[in-house]
Amino acid sequence: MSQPLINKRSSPQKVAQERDKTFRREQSITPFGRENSFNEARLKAHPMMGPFIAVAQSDQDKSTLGNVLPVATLMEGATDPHLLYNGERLPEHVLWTDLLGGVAFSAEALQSFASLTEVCSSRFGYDEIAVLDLSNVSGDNHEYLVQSWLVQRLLMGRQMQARRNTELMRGLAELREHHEHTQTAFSRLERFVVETGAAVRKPILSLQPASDISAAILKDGDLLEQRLPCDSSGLSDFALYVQQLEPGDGGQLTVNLSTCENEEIVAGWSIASQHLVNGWLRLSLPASLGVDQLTPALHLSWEGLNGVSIAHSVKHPDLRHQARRNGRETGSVLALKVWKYIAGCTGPVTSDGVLPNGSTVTRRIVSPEALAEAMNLNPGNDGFLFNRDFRALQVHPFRGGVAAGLLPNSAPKGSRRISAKVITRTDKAPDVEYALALARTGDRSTSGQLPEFPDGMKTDWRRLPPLTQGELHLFLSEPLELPHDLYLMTRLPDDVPRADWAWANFEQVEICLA
Amino acid sequence: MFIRTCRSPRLGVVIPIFGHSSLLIEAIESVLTQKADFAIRVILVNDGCRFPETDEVCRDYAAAFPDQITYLRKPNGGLSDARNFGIRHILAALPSVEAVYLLDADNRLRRGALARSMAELDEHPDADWVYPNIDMFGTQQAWDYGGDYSLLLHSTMNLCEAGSLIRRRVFEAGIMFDAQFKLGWEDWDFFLCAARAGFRGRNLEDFGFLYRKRPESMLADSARDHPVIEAAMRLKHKELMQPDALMALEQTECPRYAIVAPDRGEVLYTVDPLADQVRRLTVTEFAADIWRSVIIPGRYHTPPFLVVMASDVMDGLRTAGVLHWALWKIEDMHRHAPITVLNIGRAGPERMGVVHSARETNRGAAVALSIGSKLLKEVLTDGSTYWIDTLSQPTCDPPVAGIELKLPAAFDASEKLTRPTAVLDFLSLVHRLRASPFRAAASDISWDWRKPGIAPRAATQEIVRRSFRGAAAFPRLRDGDGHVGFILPLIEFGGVEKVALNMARGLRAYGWVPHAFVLEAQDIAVSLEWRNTFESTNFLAESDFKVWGGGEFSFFGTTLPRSTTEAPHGTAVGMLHWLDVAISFQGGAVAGIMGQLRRLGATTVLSLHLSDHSAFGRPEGNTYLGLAFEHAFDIFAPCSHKLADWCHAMGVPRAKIVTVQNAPGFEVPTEFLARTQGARDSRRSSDPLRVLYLGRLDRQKGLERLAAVIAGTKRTKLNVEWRVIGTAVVSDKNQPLPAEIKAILEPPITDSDALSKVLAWADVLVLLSSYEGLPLTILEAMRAGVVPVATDVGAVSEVVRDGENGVLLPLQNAVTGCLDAITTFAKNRRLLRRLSARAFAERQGYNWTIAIEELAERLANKDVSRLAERSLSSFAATSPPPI
Repeated sequence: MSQPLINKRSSPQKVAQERDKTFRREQSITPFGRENSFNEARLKAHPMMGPFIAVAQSDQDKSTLGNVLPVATLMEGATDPHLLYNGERLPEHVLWTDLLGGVAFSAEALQSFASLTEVCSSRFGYDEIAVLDLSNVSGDNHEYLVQSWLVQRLLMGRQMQARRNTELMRGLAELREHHEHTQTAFSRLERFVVETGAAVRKPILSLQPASDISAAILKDGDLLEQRLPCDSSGLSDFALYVQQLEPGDGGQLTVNLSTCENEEIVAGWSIASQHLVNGWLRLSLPASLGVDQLTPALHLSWEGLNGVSIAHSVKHPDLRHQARRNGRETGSVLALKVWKYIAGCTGPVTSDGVLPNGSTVTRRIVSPEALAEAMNLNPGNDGFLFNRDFRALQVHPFRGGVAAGLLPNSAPKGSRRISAKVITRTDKAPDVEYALALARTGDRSTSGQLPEFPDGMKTDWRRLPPLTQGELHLFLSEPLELPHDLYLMTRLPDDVPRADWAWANFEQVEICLA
Repeated sequence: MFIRTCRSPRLGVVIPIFGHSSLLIEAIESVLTQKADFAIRVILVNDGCRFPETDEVCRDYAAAFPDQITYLRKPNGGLSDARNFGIRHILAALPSVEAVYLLDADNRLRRGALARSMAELDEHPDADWVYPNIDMFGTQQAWDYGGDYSLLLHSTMNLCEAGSLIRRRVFEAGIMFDAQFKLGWEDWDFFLCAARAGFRGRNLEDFGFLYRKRPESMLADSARDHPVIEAAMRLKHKELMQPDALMALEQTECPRYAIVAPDRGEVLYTVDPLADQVRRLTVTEFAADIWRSVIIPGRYHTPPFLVVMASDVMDGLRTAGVLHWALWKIEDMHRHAPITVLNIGRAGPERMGVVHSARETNRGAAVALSIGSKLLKEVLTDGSTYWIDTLSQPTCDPPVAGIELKLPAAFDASEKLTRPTAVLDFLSLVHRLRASPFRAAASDISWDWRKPGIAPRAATQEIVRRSFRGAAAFPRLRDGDGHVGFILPLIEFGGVEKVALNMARGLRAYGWVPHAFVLEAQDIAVSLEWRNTFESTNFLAESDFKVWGGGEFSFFGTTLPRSTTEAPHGTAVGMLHWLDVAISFQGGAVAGIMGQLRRLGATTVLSLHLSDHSAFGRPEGNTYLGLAFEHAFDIFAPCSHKLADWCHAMGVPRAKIVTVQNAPGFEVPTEFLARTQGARDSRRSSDPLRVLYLGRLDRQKGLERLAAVIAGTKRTKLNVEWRVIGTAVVSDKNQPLPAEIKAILEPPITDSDALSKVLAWADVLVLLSSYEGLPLTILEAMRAGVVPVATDVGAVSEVVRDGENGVLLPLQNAVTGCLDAITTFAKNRRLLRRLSARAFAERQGYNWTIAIEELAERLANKDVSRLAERSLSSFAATSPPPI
């Protein structure tokens, strides 16, 4: 405390004024985020707020304690003893929050405090009123003894507080240590999951666009809201279906993801019209939402001269689940896809995922769903399938040609390196060759033929014996300026006569961005 | 915006603390960090916690945040007491507080919870508290308590968590937590009290309440103590838990039936189709409703039974007085099959009957079809309609139970009941519902991530059924009238039924609405008079319920029927629960459920007529059964003073006995009586003496004696003309009718005009019964001036005085005495005229209005809560019945 509270020559009012000044100098930032002094607040809360002592009514005339601290009078009564200050009855709870104790100058006063204690014990379960017994002490020593007693009381309080503080600090230290261990263990777990290829955002919901329900058209300034039919825990991605993008001078779709119970905006996306295409628009979070279960909701708005249509999926009889366009229910639910990942964890972002404003992730993966939908460029080749157990595209090479799969638009703008793991998973397989390549979407052949890959857009063929995992890396000299198609290719080496068991696996296809 | 520090808080948060000294910090912090544009005051209530840390934490927070936190202490009194302590402090010290939030010390709030819940109260002035969905942390679970608030559902489960925001006015109305509830569910009790006081809650889905779920929590204890707490709840909220109260809630909140009227294209949501608050929907609206409940089952209610019934059919059933019964019975039949149908058949003239089948039905001719909502939802979401479509084929895959109601041949509303298209109407509806665009949303998607917390919403009919051991509750709501049930084993033309009919007419004149309930017979006689008197006719049609027989125990020599203790009482109570007065007329085993009806608030009456006789002549039967269940009856209503004395002598308290002395069973205009009596007086002495036997023909009536008397008069060639009119009610193949009777037997007469003419014809009525009560035939005969010659059995002597107004014969000497009397009257017409005149004079003016006057008064004045709800004036006698 920067200034003594006790001043022999001061009246209680002066003491209060002095204290007030002191508190005003102690301006601080409160837990409520604005400048304030909680001591000031204490004073405002009640004129008697802050430490005070009490004397019995019968001892009032002997009191010289007003110079020490505010003094309240204990009004005696068998059933309703209470404290008065400046003629005002004090609330009962100040007994255990602000009363430092009572001072008794007489046996009668001692009895009064005993009665008060008894009543407090029975009514409030509180029997800790400290009383300084001065009934047998000469008046000359009263002030000294009261001050000593007060100091002792305050010291006791400080000691108790210190004990408690150290306990809390010890608890914090322990928590910190636990936190360190948890974080370290968790990071190792994360790395393990990534390395074992299990780090995949899982689709949990798919509401396909309905052909018989008109889409929600967003014009300039329109707002479209949709509650997601899932909880937020682990939410990592969601996708909307852009049904029709009106040609024009551009515009921007803004999507915000919020959680209802705490009314917080979790993430926001702004997508310029030139980056929108008809079809699924996947919006990804770098890290999935935490374990706390909340209700997620989407808020879409459009700015621009023309508009955009967002597809609906099903009609829903529950208003809560219907999309709301400018505050009015549309009767239907938006077409949606939702993915989840381990809650609160950073999972690999898929190549088609649009990240929130301000987020960058340089490493992308081609999602298992994209692998599953790869186009077979050899229609006569039945050996082309997606293996869900390994999350791998399996392509069976054949004699005399290249077996290939195409992943449309899988290499986004800015791609700098493409990689994939490759393997044949049986010892009966022959050696197999693998390669990756990129080509502009516009170069895609409709006849299933491979395009001419420009220089630097294709890896060399890599030959691998069975059961040997290899990695293909395609390093680009410049980041891609436009999204490209990705080709996964396999063939038999010239010296391998038979293709039996030659299932080539392409998995963990990754893309690094500049 | 963060909460403002202010001395005029709008919202108070009460945090009672006992034992959670450390977790408490999370609770406090979750309040201090609330985002709100109004001030919030936290009241920490240390409920005598034994941990010093609790006091330390509270002191620290109170000292650090004096403008937001008040710290109160009290001796330990339990959670409810601590909450009340904090609430009272707010009421006394914080007049600006508009609503109180109750946060337990181990729970938390999300940041916007209080602002959002306060906004919900602001937006809905009719809501008195806002209750949350429960998102649990620790053991992570989430439960959805959304959907419309329903007191019916609330009566059966604790759906409002204490962590609710409650308006000040609720507490100011004196609703506080019951400190006696220390085992848990004190919040359930609190909100039920509030709801009963007229306050209503409202769910806020995204409230932001976080409940700490640990394996050992108070709620886990309360789950263990469930039976004890539930018993306490049922006792404390007895009025709410009564079937009539629950059904009133069912009607307004969760109607039991969706009655589809295909001819009108509308759907009625109701429990009681004749009640005021029937909700009418279009089929399109109904489709949205049903799909909502399919897709989000815990949140949205649709009636648990879909009944397809054309409006004409409903109207016809109402006219026939069987609408409620038909609904009840087809619901009851769901015990046997998920689909039930109702057919209408023709009974004989003035007959009515019911045939039920758990398997075979004539579906094609059904006028109504009922399906449980569970199966309906499966049908609607099924990949194909093949299975359900077979309903239209001769043999079908879905199990169907059915009931056929046979109505009188000449029933005036029968043409309305000729729409046998319920099955086709239903299938058409199914296809229409399946074509709904909402069907696509009923995929495997869990639209709400929280689990449905209100499971009973899918089976709301079960709530009232708990009172009936799971049996269906008769769908009749209280309508302000007094309803009297006349419970009979059968309905034929016997004396007991006549008494019931006349007592019903009498009570109707006093403002009561009579209903007939048939316990055992499934084919009954219903005259036009009967149909005009009784508002409804209802069959228990429960094969396991037998009025007599099968019991192992006896009481005073009368074997207690097995059905008094072991029968499906739930079904019977479920049928009768809604009655204000239940009168058993020779109801036998129904005595076993009268106690239950009494507990439900009905006044129970036992109408007694006579003791039956065993094969060896020992008295037994309903009289003794009544003694065995004396506690279950409020009123004993014997038909004679003699029987009343017997009841008292056998231990029935005098105050319970109200004699309803029999009166003539049909009305005859006074002028007609005067004219025919005059005609009788003018007959010549040389004319044959006209002697009549009128009544049932069974052993009890002393048919051998009658035959002997007929033979005697013929043998002595007395100037006598005989007529014997009646039919056998109880067939006795071993005792064929005596030839003397058979030779002159005329068919029975039920029409009162014909009866009056027969009595006008007769001079003497002969009744030589072995035992009787107080036969109506004697009373009717005497009123017409016919002189009775009867055996001195039962209470006959109560009206027949030998040599004054008739002839009373000792049973042992009945034949000789009867022959002597007839001989005397044949020869001494002056004596005959004198006795006739006396009988005529004495029996004029005594009718059923007078007979039941005391009973009506007792029923109206009986201090029963259900009766007290009604205006007494509605039970006061209106103009006397025209008897």
